[in-house]
Amino acid sequence: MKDKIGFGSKLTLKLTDNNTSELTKIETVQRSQLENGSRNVIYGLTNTQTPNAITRVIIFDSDKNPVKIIDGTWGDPYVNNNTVYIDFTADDNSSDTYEIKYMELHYSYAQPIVWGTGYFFYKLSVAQTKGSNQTLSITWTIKGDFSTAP
Amino acid sequence: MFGTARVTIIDKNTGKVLYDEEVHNVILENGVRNALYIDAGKSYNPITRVILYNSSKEYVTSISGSWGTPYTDNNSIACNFTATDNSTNAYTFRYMELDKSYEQQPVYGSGYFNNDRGSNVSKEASQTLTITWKIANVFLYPTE
Repeated sequence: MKDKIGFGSKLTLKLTDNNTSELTKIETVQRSQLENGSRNVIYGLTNTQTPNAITRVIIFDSDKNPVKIIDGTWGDPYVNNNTVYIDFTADDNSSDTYEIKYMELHYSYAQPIVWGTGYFFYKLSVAQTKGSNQTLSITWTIKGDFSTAP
Repeated sequence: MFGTARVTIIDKNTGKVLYDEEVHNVILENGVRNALYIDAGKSYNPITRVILYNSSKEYVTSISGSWGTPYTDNNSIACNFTATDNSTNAYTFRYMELDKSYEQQPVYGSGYFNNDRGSNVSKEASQTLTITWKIANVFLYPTE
């Protein structure tokens, strides 16, 4: 029986040098759903309020200032070993330069971004810097465990 | 996600509580799929009713219900579904599933959450059945 298991995520972050194709890759798995993400799911399952779809990843620097917003897209859900997965992918091949320390999945909205209000969260153990000649690629997989009926 | 389902059976004439037990539930594949659909903006279906099955996992009946307001409960967001059957129908059930609204007869194991009472529960014509099903989804606070 799966009990008190939160929705988790697996994050793959790649920084690729546009000239040499040299790659920096970070990958992890953890439970990472924040309060607003949990509330959003309950809204949808219970129809008590209209939920918001995740549309973007917000990147924060070490001071928790938002430094970049990258819109992304979802794939189709897939199942492996009693877990359902779905992948969100987002790329930034601009010449922008910024520090990456915290990341959050969030819905699209107009007001200022506030750290900690996203739906899913990730903190890099060591901050990374995207250079102007690098492409950032993010694959953020959300997953949920399930049980079979007894 | 997790939760509990409480079932009470009360005699309409005497008000006596004949059965009152709370049992943990499990989330099924369709429940997880729908939860992920919500975040991804794909088509999803909210839970509207509880389906009752007998010990052979055959369909018995379904009862529509309503949701309260979501609330924060010990690092989780929770919400309570309540369904009542005060009809004169008599039946016996063991398994329950929370499910979406649909026209065809549901299939055991296709719901969102499943609850095994552990043994048969019977409702008589003179009794009222009330189901209070809590679902909850745990969360983390962001790491500093």
